[in-house]
Formats: sequence, C-alpha cells, structure tokens
Amino acid sequence: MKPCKRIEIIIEQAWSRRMAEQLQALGAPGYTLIPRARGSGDRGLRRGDDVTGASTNCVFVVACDDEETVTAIVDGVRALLSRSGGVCLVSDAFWVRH
Amino acid sequence: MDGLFFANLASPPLLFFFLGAAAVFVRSDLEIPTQIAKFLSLYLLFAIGFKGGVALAESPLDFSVARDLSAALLLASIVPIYVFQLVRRRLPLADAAAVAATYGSISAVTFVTCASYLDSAGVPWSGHLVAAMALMESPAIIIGILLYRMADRSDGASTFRWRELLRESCLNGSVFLIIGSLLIGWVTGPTGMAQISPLVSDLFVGVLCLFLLDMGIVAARRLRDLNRQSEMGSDGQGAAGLITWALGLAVLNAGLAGSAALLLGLPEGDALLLTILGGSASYIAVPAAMRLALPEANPGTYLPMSLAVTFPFNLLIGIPVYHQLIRWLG
Repeated sequence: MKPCKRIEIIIEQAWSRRMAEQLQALGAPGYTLIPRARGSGDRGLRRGDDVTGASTNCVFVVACDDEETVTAIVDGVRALLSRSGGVCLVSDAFWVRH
Repeated sequence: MDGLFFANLASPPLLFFFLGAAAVFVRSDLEIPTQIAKFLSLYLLFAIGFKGGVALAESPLDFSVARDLSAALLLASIVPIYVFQLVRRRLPLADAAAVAATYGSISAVTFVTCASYLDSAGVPWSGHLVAAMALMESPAIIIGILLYRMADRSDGASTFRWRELLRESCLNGSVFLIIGSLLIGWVTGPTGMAQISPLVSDLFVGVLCLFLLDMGIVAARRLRDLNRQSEMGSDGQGAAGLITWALGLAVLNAGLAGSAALLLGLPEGDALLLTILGGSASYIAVPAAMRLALPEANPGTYLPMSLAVTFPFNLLIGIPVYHQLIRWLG
C-alpha cells in the first residue's frame, strides 16, 4: 500500500462536466464520478428528486500520491467551488496497488 | 364556467397530481424513481412533438403559421424583460434574472396537459403550436442572463461561457427531443402515426397521469421548502410574497398572450394553448441552465415559484378559466 491523498469534491451535477475538464487540466491522475448525491448545505436542501438534475449533486473522488498535484488541484478547484457552491475534502489514505 | 372547471377538476391527470401532493402532506413514502420520472417526461415530449408534427403535415404551411410562430417568439422575448424590471427591486439581482428567465420561458408539461384537456373536450388545435412551444423555451434563458450581465456591476461574471449557455438553452435534451419528434412526425405524417399510434396516442393520458403524480410529489416538497426557507428568514421575499409574485406573473403573462391570441384571431384551441404557454413558467429547461450559467441565483426562489405555485395554478384554475374567457371574448 502506498500513502496518498484522497480528494473528495461535492459539486452540483450541472457542473460535473466542467469539473471533470478542470481536474484533467490540473493533472489529476484520474477520477471517479458518483452521480445523484443529495443532502443539505449552505445553499439549501438538495433533494435530488427532479428530472433535470437541477437540485442534484455529484461527488468526485480523486486519489493522488503527488503533493504538488494535490496542491494544484485544491487551488484550481477553489475558484470553481466559490462560484458553484460545493465542498472539497482532502484526507490521508492508502492506495492499494494491484 | 362551472362545467369546464369541474370537468377539468375531475380529469384523471389533475387528480393524480393532487394525489402526489397529498402523499407528501400525509407523509406517505410514495416516490417515483428519478430515472423513471425522466423517462416519463421524455415520452411526453416525444409523443406531443410527434403528434404536433403529424398535425402539421395534415395542414397547409401558410402565412398564419409563420405569423403565430413569430408572435410566440416575440412573447418569449418581451416577457423576461418586463418581469425583470418588475421584480429586480424586490429580489437580489441574480434571483430577479432567474425569475425573468423562468417566467419568460414555458412549461412543456403544462402545454401537454392543456393539449390533453382540449382533446378530451373535443376542441381541435393546430400542430404548429408544438413548434411555438419549442421556440418559446430558449430565448428567455439568454435574455435573462443578458439582463443580469448588463445590471451586474461586479466582476463575478467574467468566467462566463456563452457557448455553453447557448448549447444548454437551445440544444438541451427537451428542446432537442421536441423539435426532433416534430420533424419526424411532419416527415412521416399520417402513415408514421398509423405505425406508432398505440404508443403515441393510446398510452398518452395514462403516462401523463403517472408523470403528474410525480410532479405533485415534487411540487408539494418545493412548497414545503419555500415555507421552511421563509421561516428561516432568508433574504428577499417571504413565502407569501413569492407566492403572490408567482400568481401575479402567471396571470399577467397569460393576459398578454391571450390578448395577442385574440388580436391574431386564433381559433379557440390555439388561443388557449398560446395563452397557457404565455402564463406558464419553466421548471425544467431554465433551472438546469441557470444552475450552470447563474449559480448565484437561489433555486429556492425561482423553482418553487414556477413548480409549486404557477404550475398547479395553471392546471387547476388557469386552463378552464382562460378557456372560458376565450369563449366569451373570441
């Protein structure tokens, strides 16, 4: 197992394409997109129950073992999150190589 | 008047809408899975687009079609401008722009329900009104964003992507499907209709019932959210203020569209459809585009206004009342 950072980004479903482009541009080694997340935050209740996805969030998960790339991703997504709303969490993790 | 009102009230689609709303108020766990609701909405857009196309193929394309489509486009461009001016002093700027876009655009499901109402009442309507509906969906989104950018003094809009907005507003799934189905219906005409009639015609009202059941659930939840938001003391208008605006704008816009329909001398069914298009507010295309183009706008303001107030108002009161007025004045 190799130590790495686990980056989780919760953002509106509508912004998922833009976020995916941003992550790739910032050098993320890859990402997993979990659609149709729901919950509540400072921009109100996100029920995830409408047909357009306008009240639905999604979650990006990125595993990255390069400190510089992690810093670049965190700085890069900050501007996007300040406009769209959302959360970025960074935590220590272990990458199971296979 | 009473006859039209009670006939509408006793129709299965409207009763299923209220069943959905009742499920929320009595805290039932009734729920339509989102993906199934999405499928139902796609079916309705496909069916109404195809039926409109077939009707278009059966009638001549003349000056009146171009005139009606131009009037629809003009309405969809004027409404967001005056709505923005009316609400901008009472709401935050981004919310005012989103409300303007919401009320300038239309609700396809309200149109579909009104078409179903006309069918059950035996009142004919023209296929090109489906094209009018598709045309009226997008301009308000672009105008709403333009109004916001002209009034906004901050530099927050500098990261704005026009290409993305145009794609989202003009090529979003619902507009694309309506126009595509309309064209296919137009090209294949009555022969095409004979091939898929059981799917497009026979199932239509039943599917509408199921979709309106889901809309009743979602609308009642948004109404609750609106109340909760008001209790929490959010900025701008309280719930009563937003409900008043939602009703006032619906009636004002329907009045404008209805006047245009009467001035143009549209037949009864077409006049009602244009009136209800004018008086309806978007809760599918606009919120999706606004979340992308104007995330500063609070969806807790414009979404409940259109979905929880204007939509049920049009279904329950707007359609039969406007119909009766058109009969009296036409």
